[in-house]
Amino acid sequence: MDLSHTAEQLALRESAARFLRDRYSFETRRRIEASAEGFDAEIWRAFADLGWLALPFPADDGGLDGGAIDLALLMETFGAALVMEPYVSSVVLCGGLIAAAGSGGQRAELIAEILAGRLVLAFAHHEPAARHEYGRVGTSAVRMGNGWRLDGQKSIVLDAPMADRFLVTAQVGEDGGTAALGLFLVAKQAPGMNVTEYRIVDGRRAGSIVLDGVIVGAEAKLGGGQDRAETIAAVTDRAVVALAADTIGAMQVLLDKTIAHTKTRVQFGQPLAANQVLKHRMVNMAVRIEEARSIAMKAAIRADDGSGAAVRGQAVSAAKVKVAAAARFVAEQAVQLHGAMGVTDELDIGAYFRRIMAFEASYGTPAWHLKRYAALRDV
Amino acid sequence: MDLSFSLAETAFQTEVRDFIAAHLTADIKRAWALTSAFLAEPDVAGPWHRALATQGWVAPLWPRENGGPGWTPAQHYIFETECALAGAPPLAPLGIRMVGPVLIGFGSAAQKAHYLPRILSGEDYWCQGYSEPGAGSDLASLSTRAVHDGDDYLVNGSKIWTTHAHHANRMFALVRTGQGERKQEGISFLLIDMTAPGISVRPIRTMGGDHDVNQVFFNDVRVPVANLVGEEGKGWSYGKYLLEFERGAGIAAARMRVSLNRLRAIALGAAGDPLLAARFSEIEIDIDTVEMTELRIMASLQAGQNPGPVASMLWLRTTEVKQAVTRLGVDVLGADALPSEPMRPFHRLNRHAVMDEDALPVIPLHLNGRAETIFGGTSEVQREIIGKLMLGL
Repeated sequence: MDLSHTAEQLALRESAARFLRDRYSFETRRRIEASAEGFDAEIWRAFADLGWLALPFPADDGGLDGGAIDLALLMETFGAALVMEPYVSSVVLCGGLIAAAGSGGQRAELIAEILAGRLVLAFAHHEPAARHEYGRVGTSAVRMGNGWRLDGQKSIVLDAPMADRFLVTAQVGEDGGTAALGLFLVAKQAPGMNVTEYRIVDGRRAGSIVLDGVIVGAEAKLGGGQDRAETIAAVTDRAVVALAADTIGAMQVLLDKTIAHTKTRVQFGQPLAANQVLKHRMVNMAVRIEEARSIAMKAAIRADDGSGAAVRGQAVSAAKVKVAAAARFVAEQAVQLHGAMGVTDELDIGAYFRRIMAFEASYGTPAWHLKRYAALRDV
Repeated sequence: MDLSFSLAETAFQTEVRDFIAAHLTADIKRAWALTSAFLAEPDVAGPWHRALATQGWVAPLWPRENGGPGWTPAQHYIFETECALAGAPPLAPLGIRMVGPVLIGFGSAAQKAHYLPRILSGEDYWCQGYSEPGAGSDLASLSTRAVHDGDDYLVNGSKIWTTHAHHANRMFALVRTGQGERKQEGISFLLIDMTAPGISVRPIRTMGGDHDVNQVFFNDVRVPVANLVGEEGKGWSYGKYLLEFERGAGIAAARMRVSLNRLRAIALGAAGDPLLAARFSEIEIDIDTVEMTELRIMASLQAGQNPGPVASMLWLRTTEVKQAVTRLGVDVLGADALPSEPMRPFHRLNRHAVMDEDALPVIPLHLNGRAETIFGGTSEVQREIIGKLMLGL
């Protein structure tokens, strides 16, 4: 058993934190959030130059062979800096799915573009009809000659506005076969694609898509004929691990800022932090963060160690439940302890609060993950 | 990073399992499963203690030269976990985990030679004289006095919450031998023979109906000066050293999991109720989290590092999650939580008229469990310590 980070891993975190400190201040981030694009192409190129876009890909595909632990370390710094860029959508989710399920040709064509930062993909999976049942797919893929016809609706497709193409999940009706979940690459501009773009609560962007008889070629389908449900679950689990780390980064900033604030803000003739009720509240915040670190570490290890889908899924769902609850507590207390200023948009506290809220609601709610945890327990 | 044990550690795990299978009797397991007090009674834990003693496995944390097994932190973790999963009663910590390490660290050669073997064999049974009626969380304000009288100290005062004082033949106690500028000065660490004249023990029944703790009175009790540990007046630092061990036991997840699974068995169909099922899963995730934190600490000890502040947070959460488990028992039983059986021990009862045997300890465990966040330093005191050390508050 080894639960320590390697020197290389710590160096990655340190260099990422340094880069973001220098180049991604809260003011910069505010400017990006306010921009029409909602992301910074120059920063994205810098991510590529630093090798971050290549981090989780296999060396055979030109990547750096990074594991979930490496990914989590990088994402922790993203959460601390509230990075807006579509890393999880393009690199972790779509890139991960292409690496796991793509044919040799698809991997060769697409991954090089993703890790160079020239191609941005978004994962069109969630559907309005699914609501609380994450991953229930109604979109259909029906054979049309050599290719496929896609019909259905997708919603909360994160980073849709900056994506060049989408990876769309659909129920594949093969002749005589049972239903299987397939993955299809679809260009944003393809006929029949109706994309509505919007802002989400933490300032990032997303979109809803109506696929109305979208025709794609045979080469659009990722890999061969198998059901991709387990691949999708494994890669989505990896995204949850990445976002749990992002959330831990955000929580730690909130605690650090809250301690600093309560030590310097004087009321009733003494610093706020001298009040035991506030001191103990902050200790509880610290304890929640440490718990989140433990369970997120377990999920990151299980995402990679081949101990099986049930063990992995349980560890990841446990992390989602626990980290989301910890983060909600930490964020609410950070606002409370900053007083009225905490509720404003002038301070960054609110931006962290909204980031944490977005984590809670995306890629399966805590309630959905709690049910999944219980279901996998009995597998 | 990886979460697996090495081949040698897995082989050790098998060795432990084999030993348990050969020596842990069904009677001991049943008696412990039906125990609602914090510690197993000496007649329940005693046979298991003696079996472990023949194997040299009584005191996992002691150095080999003092009779410890010379285990790595991973072996210690595996041993405690296997014992818990098998349903073995935990051995009373007072000798093994509390006074033992203090004697090893600060005792004289004669004290070590006399007392350590008797702890290992189970011949001596220890209790702890720390809290007093007037000194709880503020332990250093204790006032039990020891004054020199020839080759003895004359001890007067009272100690309270003394677990198993009614079974113990020895007590380690913090007593006041002087008055310094700070109240932490002038405290000494004494070893007291519980059979000495002038000692009386008053049982205190807990709200769960168990007799775990007592109040102990000292009326001109003679304690030889040779029973002073370390230097006179330095007792506070030894006592604090001991508290580190008391709080730092750090291997509790497996026992919590066993308790949760017992409740799951009792709940049967009721666990299908969606609200109850959600509570089971939430608490199980809390246990997973405690376990992972334990493993983080174990792995850093194994790597020769200091685990740092995470260890002090673990105690806080472990006690809270233990309470969450026992509290769930109330929800699991529903209206059946109300019948109450005053007789102890439960394992000596024959068929109960009202309750299933498994359900007997559930509510007493919940009631007694409220003490989890009080003894060994209240959660509020823990938060003060964490705030000071970790957050600079």
